[in-house]
Amino acid sequence: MPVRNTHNAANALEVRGIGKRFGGFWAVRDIDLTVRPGERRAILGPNGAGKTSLFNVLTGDTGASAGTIAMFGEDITRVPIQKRIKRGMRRTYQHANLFDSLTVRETLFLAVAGQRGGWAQLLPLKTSDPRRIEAERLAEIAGVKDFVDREVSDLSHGQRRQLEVGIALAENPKVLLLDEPAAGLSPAERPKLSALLMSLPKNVTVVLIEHDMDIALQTSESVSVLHNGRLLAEGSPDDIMQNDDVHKVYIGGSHGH
Amino acid sequence: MNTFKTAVSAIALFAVAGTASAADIKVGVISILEGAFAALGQDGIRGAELAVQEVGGKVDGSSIEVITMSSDASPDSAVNAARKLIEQDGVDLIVGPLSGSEGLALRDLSKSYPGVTFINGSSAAQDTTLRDSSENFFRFGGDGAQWMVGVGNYAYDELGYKSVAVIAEDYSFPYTQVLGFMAEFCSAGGKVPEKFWTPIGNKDYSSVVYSIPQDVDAIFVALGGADAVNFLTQYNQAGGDKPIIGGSITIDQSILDSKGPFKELLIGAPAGTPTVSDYDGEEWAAFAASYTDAFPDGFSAPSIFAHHYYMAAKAAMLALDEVDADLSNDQAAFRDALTDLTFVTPTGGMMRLDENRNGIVDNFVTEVFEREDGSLGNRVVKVIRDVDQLLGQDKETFLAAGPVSRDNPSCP
Amino acid sequence: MRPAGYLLFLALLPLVLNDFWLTLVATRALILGIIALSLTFLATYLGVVSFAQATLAGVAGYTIAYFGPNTVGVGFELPFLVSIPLALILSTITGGAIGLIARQSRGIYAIMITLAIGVAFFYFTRQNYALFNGWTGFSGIRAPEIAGVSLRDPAALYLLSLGTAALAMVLVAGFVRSPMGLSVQAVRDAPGRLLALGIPVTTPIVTAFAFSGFLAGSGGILNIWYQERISSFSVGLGPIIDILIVSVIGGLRHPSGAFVGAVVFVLLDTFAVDLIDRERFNTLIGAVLLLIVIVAPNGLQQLAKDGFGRLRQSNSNATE
Repeated sequence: MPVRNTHNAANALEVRGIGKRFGGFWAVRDIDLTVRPGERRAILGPNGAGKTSLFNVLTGDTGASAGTIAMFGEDITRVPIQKRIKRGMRRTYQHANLFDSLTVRETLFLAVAGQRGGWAQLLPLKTSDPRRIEAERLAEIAGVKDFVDREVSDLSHGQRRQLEVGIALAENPKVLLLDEPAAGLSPAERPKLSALLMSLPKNVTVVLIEHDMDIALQTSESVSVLHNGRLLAEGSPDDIMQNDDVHKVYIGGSHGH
Repeated sequence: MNTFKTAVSAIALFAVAGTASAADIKVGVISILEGAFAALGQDGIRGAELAVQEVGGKVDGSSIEVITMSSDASPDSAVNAARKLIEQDGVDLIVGPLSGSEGLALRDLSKSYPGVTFINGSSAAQDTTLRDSSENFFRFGGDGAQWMVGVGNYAYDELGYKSVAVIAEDYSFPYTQVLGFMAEFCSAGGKVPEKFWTPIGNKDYSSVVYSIPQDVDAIFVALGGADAVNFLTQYNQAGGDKPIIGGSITIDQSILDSKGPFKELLIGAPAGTPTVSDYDGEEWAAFAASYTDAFPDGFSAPSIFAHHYYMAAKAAMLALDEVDADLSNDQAAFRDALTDLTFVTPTGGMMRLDENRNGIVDNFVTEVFEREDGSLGNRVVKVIRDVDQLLGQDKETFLAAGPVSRDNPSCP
Repeated sequence: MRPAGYLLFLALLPLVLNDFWLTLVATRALILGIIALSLTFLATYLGVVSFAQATLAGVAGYTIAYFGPNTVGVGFELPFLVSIPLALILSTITGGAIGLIARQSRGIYAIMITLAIGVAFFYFTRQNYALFNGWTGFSGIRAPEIAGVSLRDPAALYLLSLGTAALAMVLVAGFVRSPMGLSVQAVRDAPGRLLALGIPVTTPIVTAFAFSGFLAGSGGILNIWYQERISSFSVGLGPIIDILIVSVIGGLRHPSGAFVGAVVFVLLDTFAVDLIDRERFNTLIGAVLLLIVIVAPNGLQQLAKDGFGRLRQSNSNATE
């Protein structure tokens, strides 16, 4: 597929013709997305629609089989995860593999130190260390400040999700990719997470992959719906709610109660 | 900090379990009682026990208790065994150890325990007594060089060998054995063009077998046990036909009894040894009879280890008797008695010590012969009396030659 | 204040224990504990069981032997103020190098690689004469003297070992709370995630191994002063297994288990011969170990902790 290097620097993410193939099967194909800086975008779709495949290509966890991805005008299609992180891309994980024996504060500290450096320091950390203070600030944003000294293994599922967001916010993220942040949360935990997502700094671009329509529509300005590996619809939450195709896909869907 | 709590309570718990014994004099015996050497090591213990039994377990009214302790041929284990015997069992004397590097280790340890007397068992490294000797370490026996005395001359004069290659294991005891052989052989005019040092427990000798020069008259093999069998088998299979000269532990009865075409190579092979199990001397016959009497489960005749541990323990009993079992004053009188002791050994010679507290001993040259039934045995061809550690040389020149090593001595 | 209290109590032991208990039991257990601590540290915080800890202790021990007074005429003498830091530096570097080699391995594979390194070092020391003096090794090694007191003196060596053990525990506790220590634990918990944070995993692994080399090296130095000798046997399978046994008895869940394990091991090793005939005491040691592993799979330290915890709970229930 020919690659056109004419990306618009004004866009946070510009995805052109992205496809991911496993053997002879295209998990996603011909996806075009344009996400403006600061935009809240949800990518919605039923199970098997190709959400995770698309997400992994965006984060760099797997390579694209076709197409290009640009971040603020720079082609990052072949850029490894590490360097995408350096350029301001952050992600959360659905199956949270966190550092179970570290405390919340220590985990957030590593997230800061991973970007700022100083993780190799052999001397104990001072209370006045700016990276430690920054970790506490992140804890506050992510709503995990009350149990900042608790070990991660003692956290509830929802608290771990909040911590995930806290980690992803470390050191000025530009584009935040959230992988089904609400999956597995109890009804009581959902509103908390929605509130957290809505309170994220406005200068951060957020792309949210979500199975749950309520959370997706509630927290986003625009929604892209995937179906069978292709883009089915795109628009504002209101547009999407009115869209007949989306209704067909989401038979018995959770919207509209 | 639970660590400390647990540790302390454990110590307190065990502190009451101290051992007490009523014996007046305690003798610790260290030998190898585990692993491949266990059977031979056990025979060393028998030798020491025999000497104590001969005095009825009592010297001048003082009872003697023998406490055995095992090592595993490693110097570290011998040191640990000795420490335990001294510190915990409170022994007055130590008899042992069995092997060369262990002896060097105990010699060094003895300097840290001036209140305990160490009498070497069968270990035969040269420097145990020759260099850095210790005031309280005695050896009523020879070193590996003394054990080869007579063989070099016999090979040169009687067998007419002019050039001999050496293959030996790479540690202190074989070094000393090679010195004992070469001291005589080289000064008689013989040459040793090549020496091969192999690790203990080596399995593959092919590189050595094919490197042996074709123009040598014989090979001196100072390997022990399985190493000797492996080398001789591989040498024989490769078509090697040079006559063999054996070290003190190379051609023992177990090799002669084992099956294998390499045995042909051994017929007529000379070797040096301080102990011949079926020696027909009068004193030996008496010793062997008393041994089989006391230990019906033992070997058919005393081994080199029973022989040497016996001499060590016997010397201790004799010296104790001389000082009326008085070990006061850091055993000073006892040690003087040991130093001046003379007694007739099971091989018929007169045991006494040189100035380094090393034995002046008898040595045998043996050769392998074929019995009428086709089996092989060792027979004595020569007994050499009064063999000292300097091998009859002047002390200055002997010491000036430096410690034995792979390259010392040398006469290519 | 409690640790200080225990430490003071232990420091006063030379007043009540005789030389046998002080040296052959207490000091030996402390030294073995320090070396085993280097393993329990790795197991607890990096999640890797290394069989190369005897090698690391051996590197330091051989350095002291080679550059110190000995009776085998190998090496040359350096002042202790030079040879001791040198020994620690070499064991630390060796630890790091082993970590570099084993960095991609976990579980059984890490065990295989470190075991291979340990056994290779054993054979190397046995066959190399220029540096290690082969089979015989070094003997006649003397500990340094300070103001006329030899550090090999029972009380001096005991106090030195106690101080080193306490310092080692403090260092471990400090290390695991330092940023690098956090990274090490993060590698154990989720290496992929650490990479995603922009932190490479190799550096923490190598540093953890190097630090464990430093711990093992300090134990190795004390050990050679205690033994006054070192040979290939000191780095062979025997000591490798002993260190593992000590760690397993104490438990691999917490580094301090090393000292509990060491005390039990030394008591067993010393007194098993008194309980059973001398040719069979190894069987008794084996049986006791088996029992401990079955009864307390997480080690005696954990067992004691649980026991104390239950005791305390029932006590407080009773008083309420």
